[in-house]
Amino acid sequence: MDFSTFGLADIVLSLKATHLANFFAMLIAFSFVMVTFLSRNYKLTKSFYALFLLLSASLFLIVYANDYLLFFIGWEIMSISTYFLLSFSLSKEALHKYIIFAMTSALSIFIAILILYSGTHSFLYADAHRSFAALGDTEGVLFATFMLFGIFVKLGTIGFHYWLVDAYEESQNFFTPFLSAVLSKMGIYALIILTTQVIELSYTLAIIGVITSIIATFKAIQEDSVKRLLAYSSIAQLGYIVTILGVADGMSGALYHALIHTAVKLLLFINIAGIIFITGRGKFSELGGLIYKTPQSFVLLLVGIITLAGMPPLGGFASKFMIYTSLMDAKHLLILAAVMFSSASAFLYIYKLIYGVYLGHPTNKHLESIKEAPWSFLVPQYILALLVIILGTYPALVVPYFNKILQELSLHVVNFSDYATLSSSFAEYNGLVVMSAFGAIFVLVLLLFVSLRSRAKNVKDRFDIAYCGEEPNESTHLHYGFSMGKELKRVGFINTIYKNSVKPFYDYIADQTLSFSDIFKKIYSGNLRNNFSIAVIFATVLLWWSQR
Amino acid sequence: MSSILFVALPLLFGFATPILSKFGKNGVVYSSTFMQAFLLYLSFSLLLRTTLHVEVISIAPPLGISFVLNKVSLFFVALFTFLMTLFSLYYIVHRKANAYENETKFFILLNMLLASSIGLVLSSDIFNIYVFFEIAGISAYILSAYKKSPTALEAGLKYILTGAVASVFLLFAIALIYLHIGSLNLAVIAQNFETLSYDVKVLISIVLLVGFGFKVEIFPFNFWVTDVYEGSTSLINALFSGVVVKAYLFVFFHIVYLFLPSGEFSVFLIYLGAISMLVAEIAGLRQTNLKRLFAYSSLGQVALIFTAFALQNQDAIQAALFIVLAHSLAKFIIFLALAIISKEYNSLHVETLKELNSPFLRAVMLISMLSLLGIPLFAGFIGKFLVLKSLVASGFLAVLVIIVFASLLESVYYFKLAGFMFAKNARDKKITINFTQKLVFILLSSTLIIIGIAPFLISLFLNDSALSMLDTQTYINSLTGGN
Repeated sequence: MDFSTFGLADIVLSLKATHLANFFAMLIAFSFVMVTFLSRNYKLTKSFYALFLLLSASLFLIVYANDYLLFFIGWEIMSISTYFLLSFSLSKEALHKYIIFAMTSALSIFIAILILYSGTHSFLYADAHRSFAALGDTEGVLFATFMLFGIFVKLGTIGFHYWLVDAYEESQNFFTPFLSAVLSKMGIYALIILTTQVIELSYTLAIIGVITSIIATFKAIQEDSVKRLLAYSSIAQLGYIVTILGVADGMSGALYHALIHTAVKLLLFINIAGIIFITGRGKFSELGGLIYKTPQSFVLLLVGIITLAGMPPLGGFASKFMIYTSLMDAKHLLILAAVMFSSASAFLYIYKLIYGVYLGHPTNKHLESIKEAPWSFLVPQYILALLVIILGTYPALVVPYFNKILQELSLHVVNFSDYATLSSSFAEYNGLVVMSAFGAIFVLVLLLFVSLRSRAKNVKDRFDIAYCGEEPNESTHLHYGFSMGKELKRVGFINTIYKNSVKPFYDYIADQTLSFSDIFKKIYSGNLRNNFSIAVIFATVLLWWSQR
Repeated sequence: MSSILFVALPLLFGFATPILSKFGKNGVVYSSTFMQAFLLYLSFSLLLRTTLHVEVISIAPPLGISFVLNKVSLFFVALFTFLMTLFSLYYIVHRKANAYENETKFFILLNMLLASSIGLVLSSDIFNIYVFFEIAGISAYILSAYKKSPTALEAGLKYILTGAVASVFLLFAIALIYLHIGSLNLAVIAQNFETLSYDVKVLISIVLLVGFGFKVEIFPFNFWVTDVYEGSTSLINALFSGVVVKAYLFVFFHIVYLFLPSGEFSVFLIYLGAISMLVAEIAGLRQTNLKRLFAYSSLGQVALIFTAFALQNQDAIQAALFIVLAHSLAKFIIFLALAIISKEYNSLHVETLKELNSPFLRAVMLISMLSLLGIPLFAGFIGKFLVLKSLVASGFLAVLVIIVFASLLESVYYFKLAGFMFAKNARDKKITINFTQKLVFILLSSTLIIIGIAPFLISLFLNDSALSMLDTQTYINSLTGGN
């Protein structure tokens, strides 16, 4: 819609349903439906639902926008409605932290799009490339810096993750899956738009992404709170997507990983929400041994972590496969090694997730009397688990659709033969075969296990720990899952990661700003003598200046 | 004829108030509200008339009074009458609980304030401007000291002193102009201003800047503002930041456009505005008194409007008018709400907001705060966005960054306030708000939202207004009678 006839020059707003936009809109709608299942377990006010709908509307606005102005409007509404949604549960400090970072992100994107606008006086995506070419060198660099800064703050890229972990931890369990699965994807979407329509960023992006994923992975391992661990994991996974976007032909991998990450984070966060709902506890040190009480949740979480780890035969492998092959293809071997290192280290926190919550010995007396999570938690998880299993068996199921997106962005398409075979430029694998093989092995091992295992003693009392030679009491931790990863700090560089935090840096900035504020406040003390003398000095300086 | 009515009617009413008060106390209040509503009707009927161009009324030219009513001055007149009418409506309810002592005097001052604000906007004669400058000043001084508490008296005294200094500078500027050009008519001065020597031009513009600088609350001259806001009652603050400042701002830039159409001086003004905004927002970060806090925010917003006007192009002026509208309405909501809060809780510390037991007040305050911050869907966004857009279009990247950084700081303290509002420890005593007051709040906040969602409803009119402000040649011609 052209508003210049209404006296608003250069303002043309338009929506466009591209394949890319449809893909992200589908992710949003899907996640929306999944989390809505949960809502019946929480007492949410009317205003919460209203804001939640507003948030969803703004997300659709972001993806369907065809110009940077509507994109920004959607972005800002998203940030603000999230703020109000978070305000229902966040502590004052975390909430304030969130909004400062969110506003910084939004305003820096605002600066960027205005700089881009100065190129050809148009906000349209279609003109963006031309606008960028019309900018001077300094403006070009400024544009890229502000835009990336804004996006990275939203993605919680390491250094800017300060707000994210707290917000995830303290947000309502109903809302956290949505935060991780959808809101963070908007940063990815913005990055895709930026890299495909405006500038090529290549290697810089890859390095930033990979550093993010390594640091976030190690930060995740030592967390005691389950949601914090998942928050760091989210940062790390988004790091992979950022990395792969910085590589030629990485788009298909990025889209695939976005899809998998949405599914798996929904699954994991809903699973944990269920656990917190039935136990009221969200820390590893207070959980454990839930496998006997909540077997269904256990199996579903198992599916989730296998996907998260990117192990065959589930869907996670397909996206990792795409990421690895396109990294190899682009000959970024160092990055490839780093990504592999990071994914391998991720096994540690992934194992902690299942071990700390479901396996081992119940730490807490409280845990003895719980039942399986309600169906409203399980149903979305089953749907998601089914999705990742299908994607594991037929990994190329989405490839024809991705090819449409890639064509639209005029990128190389991925080879496609049949739904079971996922192929890249020099490798391919058949998901059906892998799934059958794994299935066969799984059945075989299960049979062996069932037939050969010795009869275990059925423990009646939590404290009945035979053969340990100790007499535990309530204060004794019966489960050591929570302290997993503690010893990692003996490794030099990992210890560096643990010891350093961005908190002092942001505290320093806040202190400096506030002390500036104090200085300026003193001028405004209402002393008229100062006021008049400053005015006279000012006028004199002006006079003197005008004579030069 | 209508342009005279806008000034004469409130003035007449002001002077007739003592007589009217003989008919009973309520008579003054109701008749004055009715008069303002009539002016509102008049201005809106003019607004809706499509054929309005320029209306010039000169009495005994070249030295007599002359008014020019064009689209931009009509915009301000309509805004002022609208706000004043709402103010009176609000006051009708407010007075039941705690009326100002000596209402007759109060209403004289109120009507004088309205008359002089409109007069400032309409006058096309620099000495008339000075006269209205003084009338507005005097009524404002008395209004700010009206409560007679120590802080109010301090505020009034400070206001008087700064006002006196400002008018001395303005008078000095007028004297200089008269000395060199020999006329007080804006059109004649504008025609001959180019012929002056560089030194005289510089001197006049600097003296004018200092004189108006105090009144438009721009950086090195605005240190008194927060004290005055703190001392005066919240109701009066609504008028100060909604009406009076806007009138001064318009007049200042009206004069600047006529005398110094773009050039080094306006670039300097752009930077001055941006720096003022930054300073105000930094200083506002750590305020704990609500009135002072919103005073700082007013300083910031006014500085933004200042920057927009200083850009001197049509888009920027349109943007400035958008912000003028959004800011006036939002600050009106805020200060009227503060009046209720301070009446009920006897405290204006920021922590008071935590205990605010009134969902309605929280909602309208939140709306106006979001609008002030420039969040999409609210009127403030349109203004801020258009200003920044015309800034980059004119190539002022540094100014853009400064202003955005200042708005970031602004959002820091506004969201701190918003955070207080979510606190669950409300007082037991629920604030009840009268229907009329609710109506005023709803009218103001729904205007903010409607303009935010559908700016195109008024953008065309504002665009024409901007053009009529920028097109000084037409203005001059209409005053000098063609040629």
